[in-house]
Amino acid sequence: MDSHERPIREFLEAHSAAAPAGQKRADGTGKNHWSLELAMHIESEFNIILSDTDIDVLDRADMDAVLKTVMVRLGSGNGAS
Amino acid sequence: MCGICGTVRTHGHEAVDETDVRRMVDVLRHRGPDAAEVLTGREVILGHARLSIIDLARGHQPMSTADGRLRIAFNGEIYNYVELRAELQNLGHAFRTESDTEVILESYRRWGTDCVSRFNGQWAFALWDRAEKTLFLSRDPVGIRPLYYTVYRGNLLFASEIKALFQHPGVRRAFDASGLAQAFTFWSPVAPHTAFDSVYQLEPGCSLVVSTAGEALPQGPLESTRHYEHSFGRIPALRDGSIEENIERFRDAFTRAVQLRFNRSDVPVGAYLSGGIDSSVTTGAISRSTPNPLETFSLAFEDAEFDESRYQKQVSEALGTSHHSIRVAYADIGRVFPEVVRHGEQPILRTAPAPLYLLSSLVQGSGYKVVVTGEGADEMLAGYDIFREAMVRRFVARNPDSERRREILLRLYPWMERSPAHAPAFAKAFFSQSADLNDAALSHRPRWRTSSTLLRMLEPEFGAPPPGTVEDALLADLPSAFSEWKPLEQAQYLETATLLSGYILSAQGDRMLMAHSVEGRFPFLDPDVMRLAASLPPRHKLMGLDEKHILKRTYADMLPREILSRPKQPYRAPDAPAFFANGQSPEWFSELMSEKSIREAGVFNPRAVNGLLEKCRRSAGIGMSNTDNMRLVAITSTMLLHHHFVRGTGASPDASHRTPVETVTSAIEK
Repeated sequence: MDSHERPIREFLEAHSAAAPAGQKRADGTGKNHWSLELAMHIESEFNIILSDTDIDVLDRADMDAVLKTVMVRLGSGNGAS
Repeated sequence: MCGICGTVRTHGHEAVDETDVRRMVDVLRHRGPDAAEVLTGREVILGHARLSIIDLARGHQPMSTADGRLRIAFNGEIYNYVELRAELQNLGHAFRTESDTEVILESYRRWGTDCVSRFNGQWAFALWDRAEKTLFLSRDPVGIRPLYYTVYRGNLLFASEIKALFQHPGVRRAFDASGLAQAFTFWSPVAPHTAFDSVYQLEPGCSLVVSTAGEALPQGPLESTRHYEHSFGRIPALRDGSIEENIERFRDAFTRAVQLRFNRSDVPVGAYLSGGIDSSVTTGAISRSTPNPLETFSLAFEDAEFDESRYQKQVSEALGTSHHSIRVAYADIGRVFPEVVRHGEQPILRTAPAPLYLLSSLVQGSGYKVVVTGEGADEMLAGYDIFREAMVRRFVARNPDSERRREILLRLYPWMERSPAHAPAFAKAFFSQSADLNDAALSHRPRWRTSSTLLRMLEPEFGAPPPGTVEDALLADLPSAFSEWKPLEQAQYLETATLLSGYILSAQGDRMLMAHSVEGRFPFLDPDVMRLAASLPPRHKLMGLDEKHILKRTYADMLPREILSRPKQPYRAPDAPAFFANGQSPEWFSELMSEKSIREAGVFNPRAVNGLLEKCRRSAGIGMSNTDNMRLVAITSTMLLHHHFVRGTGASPDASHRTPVETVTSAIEK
């Protein structure tokens, strides 16, 4: 498995098991705080900083979309200090 | 488990004699009620109070080798002694007992001071080598077993507890202002320091060799050698492993750790069961390995805010244990608090050790000497809120202008959605704590700042170092690899270096257990489990905000789902209500905390203390802030320390139950 894919897939699998897909968004406020947790996980794993727009992409919790976002950020050299 | 003490006469003076060491053993009898002995020689005196657990008939101490060259006073257990014994026998070593103590002696004979790197266990010992004229002292990797020392007229005095050192009339009994400042910042003094002037503790994971051939020992902490360094990311296979692979590795290591701690005993072993995941997993892993019902012991609280008995019952029923419980009321905590502090020997900022003192009494009363507990899981596998909070603060600090990022607080504390009125104020307070991404202590800075507000309550004349001094000193002494570790690992290191050894395993662990002659065993602190946990990718411990992720995944099939998915409830106990509930204070409290008493002790500002006490009285201790609760308990415990150890010597007022200490004036030098 690609070294970038594994941390994301493990997170998505872990949270899918803990909360079925439909519940990810319905955490009370109607806002998707779940994607913030994923964003935090990704930043921590890859030492990058995501924009709020990137975080919107994570709302979809779709592996390909998430991976693409990560790769773009890694490619842009927008690493965290 | 036992109590050890003694002296080595490094300077040729007989400043400490057999009578002194007998008194030292005498105050350690709660650690070892089964036997007590003093072994006297010209250059060294060893004292031992024994709690018999392995080789009940022949494991007496201090123990000597057949040739008389080596003598040891040992507190603890070497769990892999069976394997080491077999290895040594293959190398030609002969044994006279089945004890782990003798394995230490022969291991030392074979491998010298490096022998400790082969031990899987919890230990503090003093080993006299007549041929080398040296005393070898050592302490286990994370400091499960205590070992204190002081230097008196150039001679070393050592003991399992500080109160034993204070039985020598020449040893000065006074607070150490830096040690107290550490306690009021990190929740405990940091080794080698203690709360007392010129009294030191051997650092966890360190050894010390004292030679009688040398000069008189200097004052101050002695130079020790590190035999264990808690480090991260050292095993590439784990670091790069998938969660599935690492679950299997963790299961194997933890199962071995549990079995070693459950099976290596000649007396029955029970388990603590809090209702949380750690002790439930430990209890479950034991239950799987024994056909007999395991005896489990729990705390219940009258105050529902602290009570977890519903979960304890659920786990006990699911695992089929024979369960015992003790119910704790506010007044119980207030009643035993002076003894809790006398045993703990350091300021405490929470009353949490007091119920554990009562729990070990229940274990003792049930005829048990050994319990396995879940201690260490939160540190090794990132279970505490401080790790999750640090991750969130770091996330927000990476883009502080993003309002959206701040909403992650609702994921960290879902209860905020149910009380939206409090949410903005809480969020403001939470994020107002600066989070400098370059700060090595980003994770711990808020806790340290809150705790160290206690320093403002001190009298200026007491001489405490200025705020920030002890924090700077701690950070200046970090391992060289610290900066290479991941942020979560850095936070885990700080937690382990401060709170685990100094408080969780000490004032709340060893001391509360040994107060009633009970030994604690901690499979999460097995060296193989610790090394494994330290090499896991951080996400396998903290997956997003899911703490102890790998532990939950590994044992998902063993525990009720409600136990696995319940939010972590940190172990806490009522603080201010223990001293003020229903407008009543314990008898001892009023005199101890009077303005006269505070003034005479010279530690705290009497006006500041009086203001705090007034606030407590007005509310009967209910609804006090976190900071005020902490201040109250810290001041009360420090005043009790002053009463017990500065004005007195720390000896128990009740010595009626003790049997005499047997003295063997042995020809150690033959």
